[in-house]
Amino acid sequence: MAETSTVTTTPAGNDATVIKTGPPSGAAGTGAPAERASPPRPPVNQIYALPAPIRTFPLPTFYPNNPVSLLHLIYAWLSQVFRAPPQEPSVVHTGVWDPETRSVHILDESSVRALWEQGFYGKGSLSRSEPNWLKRELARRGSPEGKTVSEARTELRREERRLAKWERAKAELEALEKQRLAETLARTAASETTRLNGILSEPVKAAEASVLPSSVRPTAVEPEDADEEAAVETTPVVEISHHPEPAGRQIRQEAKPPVSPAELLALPNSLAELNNLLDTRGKFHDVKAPVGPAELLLLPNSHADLVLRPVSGLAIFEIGQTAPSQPTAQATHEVDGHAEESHTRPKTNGGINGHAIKASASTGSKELDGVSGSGICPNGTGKTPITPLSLASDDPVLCPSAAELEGDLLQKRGKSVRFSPRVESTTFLHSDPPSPGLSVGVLPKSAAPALPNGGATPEAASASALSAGAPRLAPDSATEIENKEHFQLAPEEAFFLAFSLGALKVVDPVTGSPISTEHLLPLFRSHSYFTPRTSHSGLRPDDPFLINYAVYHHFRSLGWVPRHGIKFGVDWIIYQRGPVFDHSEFGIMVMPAFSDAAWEQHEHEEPKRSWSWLMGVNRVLSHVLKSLVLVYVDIPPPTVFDEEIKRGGIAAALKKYTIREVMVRRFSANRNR
Amino acid sequence: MSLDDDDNPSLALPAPLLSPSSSSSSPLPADPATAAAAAAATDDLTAEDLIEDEGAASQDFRAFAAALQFRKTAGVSAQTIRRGEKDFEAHGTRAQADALEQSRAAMRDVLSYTRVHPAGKRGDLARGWYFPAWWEGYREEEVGGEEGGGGGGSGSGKEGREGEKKPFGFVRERVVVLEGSSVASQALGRAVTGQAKDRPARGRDWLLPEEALYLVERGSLDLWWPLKGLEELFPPDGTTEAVKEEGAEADEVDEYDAGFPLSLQAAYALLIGNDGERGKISLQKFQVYSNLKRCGYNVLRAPPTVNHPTTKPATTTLWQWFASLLTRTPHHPPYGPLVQPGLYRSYASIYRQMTLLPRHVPSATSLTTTTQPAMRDPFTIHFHVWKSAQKWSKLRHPPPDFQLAVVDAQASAVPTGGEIAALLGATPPEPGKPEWAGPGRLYARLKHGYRNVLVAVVDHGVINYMRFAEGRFGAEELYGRFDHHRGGGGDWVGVGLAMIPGNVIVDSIISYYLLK
Amino acid sequence: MAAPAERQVRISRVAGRYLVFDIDDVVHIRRHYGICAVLTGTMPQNPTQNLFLGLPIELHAEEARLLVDKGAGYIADELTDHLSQLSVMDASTRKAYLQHLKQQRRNAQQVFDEEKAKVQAKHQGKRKAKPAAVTETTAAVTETEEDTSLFDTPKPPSTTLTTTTPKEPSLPGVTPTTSAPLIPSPTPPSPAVGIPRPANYPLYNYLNARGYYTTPGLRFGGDYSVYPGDPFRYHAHYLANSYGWDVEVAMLDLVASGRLGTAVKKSFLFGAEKPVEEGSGADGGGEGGGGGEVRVFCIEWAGM
Repeated sequence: MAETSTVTTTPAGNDATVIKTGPPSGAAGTGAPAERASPPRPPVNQIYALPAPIRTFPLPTFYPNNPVSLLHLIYAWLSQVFRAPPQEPSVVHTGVWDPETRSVHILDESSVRALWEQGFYGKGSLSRSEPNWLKRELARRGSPEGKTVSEARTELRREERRLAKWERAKAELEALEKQRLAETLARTAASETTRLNGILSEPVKAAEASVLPSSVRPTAVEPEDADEEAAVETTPVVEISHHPEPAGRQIRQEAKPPVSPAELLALPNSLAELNNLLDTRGKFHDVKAPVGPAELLLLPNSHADLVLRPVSGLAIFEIGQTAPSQPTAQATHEVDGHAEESHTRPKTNGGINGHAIKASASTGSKELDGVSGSGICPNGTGKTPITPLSLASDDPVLCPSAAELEGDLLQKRGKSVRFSPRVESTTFLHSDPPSPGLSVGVLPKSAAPALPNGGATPEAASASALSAGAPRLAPDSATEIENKEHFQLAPEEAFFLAFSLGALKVVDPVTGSPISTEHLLPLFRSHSYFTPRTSHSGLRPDDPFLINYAVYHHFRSLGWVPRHGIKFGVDWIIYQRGPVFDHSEFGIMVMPAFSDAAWEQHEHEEPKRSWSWLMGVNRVLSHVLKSLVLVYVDIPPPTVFDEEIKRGGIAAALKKYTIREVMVRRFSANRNR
Repeated sequence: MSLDDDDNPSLALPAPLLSPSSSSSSPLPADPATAAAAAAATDDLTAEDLIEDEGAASQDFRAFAAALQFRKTAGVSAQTIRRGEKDFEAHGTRAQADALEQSRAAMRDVLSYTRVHPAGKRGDLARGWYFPAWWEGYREEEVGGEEGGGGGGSGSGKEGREGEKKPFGFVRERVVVLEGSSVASQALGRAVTGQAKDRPARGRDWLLPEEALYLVERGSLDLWWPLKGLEELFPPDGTTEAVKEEGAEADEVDEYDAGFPLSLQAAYALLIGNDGERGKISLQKFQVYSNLKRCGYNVLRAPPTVNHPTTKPATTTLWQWFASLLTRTPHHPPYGPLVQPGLYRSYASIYRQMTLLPRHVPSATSLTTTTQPAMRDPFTIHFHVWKSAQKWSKLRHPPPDFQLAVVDAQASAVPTGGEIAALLGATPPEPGKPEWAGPGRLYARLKHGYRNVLVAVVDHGVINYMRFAEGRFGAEELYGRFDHHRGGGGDWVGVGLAMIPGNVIVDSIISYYLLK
Repeated sequence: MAAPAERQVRISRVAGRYLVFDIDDVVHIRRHYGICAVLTGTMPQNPTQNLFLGLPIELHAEEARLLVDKGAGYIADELTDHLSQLSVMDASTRKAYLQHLKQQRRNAQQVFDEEKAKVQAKHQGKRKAKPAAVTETTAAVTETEEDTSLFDTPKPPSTTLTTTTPKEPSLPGVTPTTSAPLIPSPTPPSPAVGIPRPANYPLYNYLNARGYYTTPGLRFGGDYSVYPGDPFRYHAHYLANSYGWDVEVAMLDLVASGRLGTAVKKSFLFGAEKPVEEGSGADGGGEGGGGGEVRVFCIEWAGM
């Protein structure tokens, strides 16, 4: 690109002028139409050419050995002198202060693009950063104008990951079953000799070990009982040759304590699941009772737990009994019977944390679960407990009643890994309805009038309420879809645009009158506390807003692009150029510091951050390839601050905040030796 | 289109377990420099680190026992320990229960080992005698003061200039005298010089508590509780012969006549103490010390810090004045806009108007201002650490590679601004490699920082090293590139400052031609 | 509680830290009380690595407290005990101790001799079979130990013996791991030395009571890594942090914790103890979960 051309691609209308002063291209007028004519978007460097919503008018370079360049220079200079461009910033955007979300909303489309493209300010209310809800929506409806945005790609990748995990888990499960089968066979087939061998090879210890977990728990059985159990364990092998009873036993004894935590992990994976759980909640109240009060307290989890836990025990039985690859109806019946039988026994051995009781309850709940699972499934397959079993062995992706299947698999594995085979319901569009049964994917076109996404998110809801009257005929046409997304500026961003650049005017949401920067400041400061402090006296030099703004301003004024880092558990992340161009290399944690001795007279709270917190943040960041920077903001004491603000306003007061960055990373003693 | 953070390819795989195909879908950051820097950001952990993360309590000692069987000296490397052999949860198989039992048995066997010292020639038996009070009244020469005067930074400066000078000895802290010095001569212990001829144990090496305990623990030292005085055990020069005789016949006389060996437990009891206790070391610091030693580092206690002679203010103010000249900015309206409406030829001129908060630009002197707070416990430099090197000796060594503070994970918190400033202020500048200059290595420069210090965070025996470095964002005026590269490729040449005068010159040239 | 409750674990308090030196104690509490703690010592067999560490183990104050509460262990102030024993040692104690040492040395000698014989035999055997024998110098000491120790389950509380290196006719010196023969364990164990209840105790106790093992979680960014069983066998499931009941958890920390769980493939667990209502016994009595109920929550990053 010509280094001297400045293109504002904002479709803002009149000021979308293209100033071309460089030698390579012709008159200014020709550039713009050409651009408009070509549907493919201009390269990103052109779109995001301006680092700030201010244009500059650099003069062409003068090469002493090239007289023509002098002419260019003179021409450019003269044209600017005689036809002076408007003073910069030539556009002052308007934003509306929204106290509820503590952000400044930008509603004008051209302002949205300008703020995003000229310095990466703000974010779309329905997007992760760049406002592209509309594009996503178009893409979803199959419109050619829709674009695959990064969110969609991320979803896709996550989906791939989920599938990979699912495959892996499946393989693990199969290996485990093989092992179980082998052990069962070994035990049943083996006669006395094997037992003898076993005793020889790992005599008392093994037995003791198997009792161990139960003896650990406080509610454990009496030691004698435990011993008895252990003793029994070796003997019944032979007598119940066709039932994998001992394996089941062991599960009762050993696996129990760990199993429950594992299943706690198996939280509902998706909203759909949650809904399923909620739907069936009522039915499960009877199951709830035996669960320890502690687990009950795990609120949303506990439901998942409830659904999953009981069956998982069963699942193990099923697996142990039937050939893993071909479960049949008969197998299921057997399972039922067997489960009945097996859970009565554990009662004797345990009462351990009431797990046995749960297990028994599970038999009852098994049907329930099956029914409830299929109930959600619109296809209505699998009304009987048999179906899920047989489905389980099928190719999961093809299976229509995936919800069930997922549940089933989860139960068997009890792993926290998400391996939902139901691809379409685990990917979320913000417009998706809460119930997957009404998913747009099912009724792609005809659903438009009903607009299934109506109640999906609060924002969308309000938006659609506003636009309720608008008729919708052809949903795949871009013009018909109303953009439900607005643009939000964080207070720091808004203040920077207003106070530093003068490129933003914030208006009062009620009166619509502009708020001066002088009034904007206390507004933002008071709203940086959770319950906004209304009284002027409640504002202090260490207001969260002031501290954060000091950091924001510091990096912005150096040329970085700071954006909120809440996604990564930090205050800010900073980009060298912007999210479109590069990966942000640094995560910023703001650390207030009160080094001035005068602070001793004022109440303040020096943050005590634990080391594990630091390690955690550092881990999160290094996981996304960012470095942690602790930014210490030394805050002036109130007296100094008040004095400065009286004297020279916030501009003077900010000069009293000093910033020290401290780079943090883990040090590997192994690598550096 | 837009490259979201979550799109980072390496982020796409939370674990190495995933198929690499998942990363192929998203493009890499275009800038190769960025990509390289990104790779460097992943905390630089080795396989060992990852295994260590799991914690020693969960290592499978079967691997260790297996490694031992082959060769005693064979290092247990990360390769011998495969990860991921564990199960997610109990699944009730016999195999699982057996594996657990085997692991436990292996641990028990490995840890049942008792330290045995070969009873060879006299010199080989490394025996240390515990004399906690011998040096109690000793006053070390004012080495510290001279050190401080010599160098700018407390640590490094001194070495170059006073390489001949022996490092601070911590004589008062030394509580174990070595009989036979073969174990320790290179790296550990210290003979207290300048003693009168008739003093007992003259020329013997004395160990610091951490050195003694470390040697005991690794099985290289037998620590003895003396029943006789130091004078009897190590009589002044001339009578040494007698002792040797006596020692050689120890077996025949009562070998426990002079004292008796102490257990590891006793060594801990006697040598571990609270911070500040003379002749002891805190458990956390000892754990860090031995952890580093096991890694092969050379570790010495950092000499006590002395107050910096405050000769700096003059230069500081000069520098500040100079800086203020550079950054002299127009008057800022109290409530903005900072950028005056107008016509701008360059972004540098715009961004300079926004400069408001004082920026920290690290320099060799900038930290030692008068406001520089003193280090406060626990954020003090406690150890100097050197990478293992051939030519290192306890008395002659280059400036340390690392300066280390030791803190307890529960008893302390992430340092406050004052604490970290003081800690960094006590370390010498280390700006990094010269080839990092230029725009391509911006991230490398920034991440390295100007000064740095290690903090070993100890959580009940689990040690985690964190590196804190003085940031230098203030020295990198990123906005300079805006004027250079307008929609260009990926490289930003030069710094903004160079460009601004260029424009000024151009302007004046124009006016010159026009006037003509 | 657990079957072998008779065993009293000596918890050495050294400068405010809690250590256990006896390998049998270590095995005991790992097996019966779900405490694996942290091995911190250098391993004499291979002192130049950090992957495997040896005795002593360092206990959390919570773990020490738990053992004391359960009557499974007692706190011994090692410095006082040792100094009082060492400085004024009566003849009989000393004699017993020295006798013990000598026995150990003789054992060492014996083991060594056996080793030597075995190696020689092996060596000769190998000579016949394969002329170029490998690794002949060092004996498979651990191997033999393993063979025996697999069978005699609970060894006598005295330190077990292994040896490595060859030596000369005179007996080798020995550094015992514990001072057991020197310092007789108090009978009955003095309950006088107590442990103040650590702030994290309720959560720790809650987890321990449910069969979970914990290790320090600092490296992963939490108070504990929580394992569903012995960490020898299992990966950690949770990263647990203990909070005060009324402590406000910053939203940013919640987000970070959720992400952290994803990053380290664990679920992030918050736990807090509900303070006891006024009137009932306050904190001091703290037997087990003496305070109020403990509630825990897990959070995970939804990844939406």
